[in-house]
Amino acid sequence: MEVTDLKTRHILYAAIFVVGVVVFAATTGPAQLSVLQVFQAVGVHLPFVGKDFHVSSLDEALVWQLVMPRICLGLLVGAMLASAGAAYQGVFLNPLADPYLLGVASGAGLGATIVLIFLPTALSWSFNPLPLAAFLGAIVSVLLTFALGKAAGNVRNASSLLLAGIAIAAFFTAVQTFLQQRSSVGQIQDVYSWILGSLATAGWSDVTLILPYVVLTVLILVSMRRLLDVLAVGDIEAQSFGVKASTVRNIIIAAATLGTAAAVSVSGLIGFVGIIVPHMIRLIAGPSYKRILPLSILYGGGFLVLADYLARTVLYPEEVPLGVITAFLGAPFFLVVLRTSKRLV
Amino acid sequence: MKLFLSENPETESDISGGKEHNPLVKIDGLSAAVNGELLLKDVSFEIEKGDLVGLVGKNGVGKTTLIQAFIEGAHRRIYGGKIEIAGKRFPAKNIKESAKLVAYVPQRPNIPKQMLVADYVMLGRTAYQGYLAQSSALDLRITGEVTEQLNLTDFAAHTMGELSGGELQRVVIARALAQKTPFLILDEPTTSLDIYYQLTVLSLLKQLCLLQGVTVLCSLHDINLAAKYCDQLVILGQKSLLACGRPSSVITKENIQRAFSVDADLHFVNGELVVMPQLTGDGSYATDVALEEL
Repeated sequence: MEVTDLKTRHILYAAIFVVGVVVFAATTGPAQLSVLQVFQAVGVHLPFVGKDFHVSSLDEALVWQLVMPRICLGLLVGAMLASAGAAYQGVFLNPLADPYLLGVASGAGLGATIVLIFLPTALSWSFNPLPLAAFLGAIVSVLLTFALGKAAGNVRNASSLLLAGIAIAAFFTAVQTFLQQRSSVGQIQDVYSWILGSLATAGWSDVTLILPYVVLTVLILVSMRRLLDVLAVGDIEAQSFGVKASTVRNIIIAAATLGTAAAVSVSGLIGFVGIIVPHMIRLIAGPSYKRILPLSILYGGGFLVLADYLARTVLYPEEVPLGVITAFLGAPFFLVVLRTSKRLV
Repeated sequence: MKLFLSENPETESDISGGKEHNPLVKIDGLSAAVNGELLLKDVSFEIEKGDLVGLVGKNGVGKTTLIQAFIEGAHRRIYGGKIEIAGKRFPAKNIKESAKLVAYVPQRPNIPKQMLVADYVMLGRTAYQGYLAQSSALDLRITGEVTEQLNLTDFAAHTMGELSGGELQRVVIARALAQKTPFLILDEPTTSLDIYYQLTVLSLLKQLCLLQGVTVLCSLHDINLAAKYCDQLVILGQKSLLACGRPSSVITKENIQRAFSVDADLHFVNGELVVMPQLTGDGSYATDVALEEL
């Protein structure tokens, strides 16, 4: 009997996609480096392999300081947004749920806006407070959503949480718009470009900043993948299988929110990845989270690196905001897949 | 089945019918309430291993509450009494252990329409699976066996949304069987089915009891079907136990009147007990009068 467990071939295809995208993005940038040059430039930073490589210091700096951190950050942020999106869709039994559902986006947006408007010199400080402010804003807004959702309704009912999320998002967005409206044109532009998302300023410090959060979140979500399927039969039946649905929901929401907040704090609000990637996987690999969740991590990372490649090349030397690329590319492609697929979402 | 302390139930003298007395399930003084409203009062009975037990009674007398006493989440309504299954206290210390004692088929299961039948049956194995592990060979063997047993092998790769009502009922039962529990409870498994599927489901449950030693408790509305298939009947009336025993001894005119407020005649057709509601002189049922008064 064929059960839709994750099979080795699924991981193999996804891994080929990710490796292909990474090699492509690393070697086809404006610098026109060969695959070998890129490998050598990366190799000198790895133990054991790089001893005999000879790379010019300019190429090495270009690859190691600019290209690689940006690709690594793209992988982490994409993996995080896609898997968190899949997790939210499973928890709320709603195909339209995305990682920003419970107020992460508006909270992070407000945090970033406050820094950009009130601390305009902050970006040149040795410690950049913007990611921290965005992260705190995101966490505070989700905690408020939980407090309000629990006060407003039954804890076991996910819809009161959803409605609380909408109210908190509206409130935070209102405050942010008010602050923006009282600031200068340049500041508005800064806020706006942060909101559209970008990996342009990525450095290794960003990667190491969010790596622990992403690893922790991804581990928790992967271990919960079966239970996401169980949630679809409702709380009472889930109990009869030995699953405490409310506890599972809280763990998944907490993990997905923490990871999303970390991703958003360094990349801004990159939209659409959290919806499009899980749904594409659903169309290809079926509706079970046993497959959707692990594959979202891989394909999400690859998808965002690809989108970021386009963001920095289509109007080179100018950068297009990443959120514009993900939506501009993702939406039509998604529609084509939807129309040609026989499965319903 | 043996009966102990309860309000005023009819006791059976011949309790074990020659079988060794070996109750799998003991329910002792069970009482339930929600928001101060009494749902179930001091219900006690025992179920022998391998018996198919029917739970009958009017709507609202507590059948579902009694059924849900065997689900851990709903169990908190229960404030008194205790349940023992296979010598173990229920609910167990750990929710996963409880799920290895009882499997539950609700009256209206939530059907995830996109889920594959094979995956749905595999949900029954949840309590046996680790967080990071794939489905084990044992899981696959068990789900394969129950799928075949219920003639669902051809549907394994279909989605739940593609199945008919009768097929869905079998899939949900397959899921419960995959849980490999000694005790299986079903809330009105025949209510939404036509007569053909009603008979199919009940004879399936009967086979499970006879051939595999599964013990089954199910609530039923059709007292004639219950009499035909069940080894024991539990009749609830007004939130408490009214009668409990073999169908031939508990289906009496008096019990039918007390449980359902319906005057009925008992007939034997081809050796089977048949309950017929009495007609009044002008050809209407006694309950029709109540409607006219409304």
